[in-house]
Amino acid sequence: MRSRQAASDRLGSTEIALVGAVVLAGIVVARNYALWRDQFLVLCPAWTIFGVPCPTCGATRAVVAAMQGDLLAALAWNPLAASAAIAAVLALPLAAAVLIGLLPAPRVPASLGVATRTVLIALFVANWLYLLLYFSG
Amino acid sequence: MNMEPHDDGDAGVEKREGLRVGVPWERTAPGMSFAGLVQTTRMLLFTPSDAFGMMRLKGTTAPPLIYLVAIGTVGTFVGLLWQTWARAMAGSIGGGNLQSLALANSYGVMSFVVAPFVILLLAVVVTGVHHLSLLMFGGAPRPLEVTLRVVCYAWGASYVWMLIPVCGGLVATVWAAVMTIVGLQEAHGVPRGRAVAAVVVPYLIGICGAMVLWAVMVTAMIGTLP
Repeated sequence: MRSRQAASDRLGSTEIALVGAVVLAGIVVARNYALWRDQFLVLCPAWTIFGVPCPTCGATRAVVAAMQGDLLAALAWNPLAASAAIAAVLALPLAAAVLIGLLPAPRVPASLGVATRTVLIALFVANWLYLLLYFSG
Repeated sequence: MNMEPHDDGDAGVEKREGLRVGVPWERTAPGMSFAGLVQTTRMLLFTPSDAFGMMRLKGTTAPPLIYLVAIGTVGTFVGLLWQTWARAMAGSIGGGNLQSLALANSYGVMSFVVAPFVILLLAVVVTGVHHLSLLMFGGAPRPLEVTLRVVCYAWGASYVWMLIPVCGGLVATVWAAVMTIVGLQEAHGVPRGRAVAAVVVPYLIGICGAMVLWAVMVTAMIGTLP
């Protein structure tokens, strides 16, 4: 069955446009953080109840800080979320270039190798370990 | 129609491709009409294997996106109506604070206005998460576009459960997860275990995020009480 499937597929224009829209919306929301922050001022229940940060702890603050240009603060809050946010913003011009036909659409692999999967899981675990240390300190 | 896509070999895959006439919403008739909406939703909710087994895998993604936004916006509106009703009831019991009630309702109106955009953007994020999960758990045989179609139809149809007061959101979330599993299995042709893992594991990881969201909503609701 897999022999008939492509090893990777190019992203379509709709997907690229939608991802670009998500990033743009994220920038707009984060830049206006002050407008909605006070409406949703709440402590993380996992932290409050268990005293342990969840894997996504600090992600919102990291993304907001990254979108506001405070990269060091973003990386401190949640390195993985901050990296994803920075990568998403950096990908915006590339997405625009693809949409107007200057660049070919990127390919998404049909499967990930063991090494790639191991690295991704290791990054996730390392990020959580960092959060455990960061929030306990 | 509930074929086992991962057991029938290459010939089966090719045969199935030819059978994908599209859900009613995607066909020429009834197409993107009210009848098409109802037929598609009924099929997705109660015979999801059939629906995802005939869902188109190629072509424009406009129909699934429009389907999601159409039902999602209506579902959001109904959910907001229930919230407004609950606030009004709480206000009438505990003594009303007109200012906080008006403020909460104005946030409700804002939520409804931005709902189509938020729904669309969330669908993209959810699609990315499920597709990455599929890749992590052994591979996604078909393109990202197919995962997007599955998410649009699964989440779109689940918004119908927002008609139920109080627990509608919870029912819709669980139903959407189950339908996404069926959809990934049928559309990507992956084993059920991989489809379950691709959907459930992000949920498990995201439980903390969901708890935060729940706390946000409760806090917001308490904040609006007199």
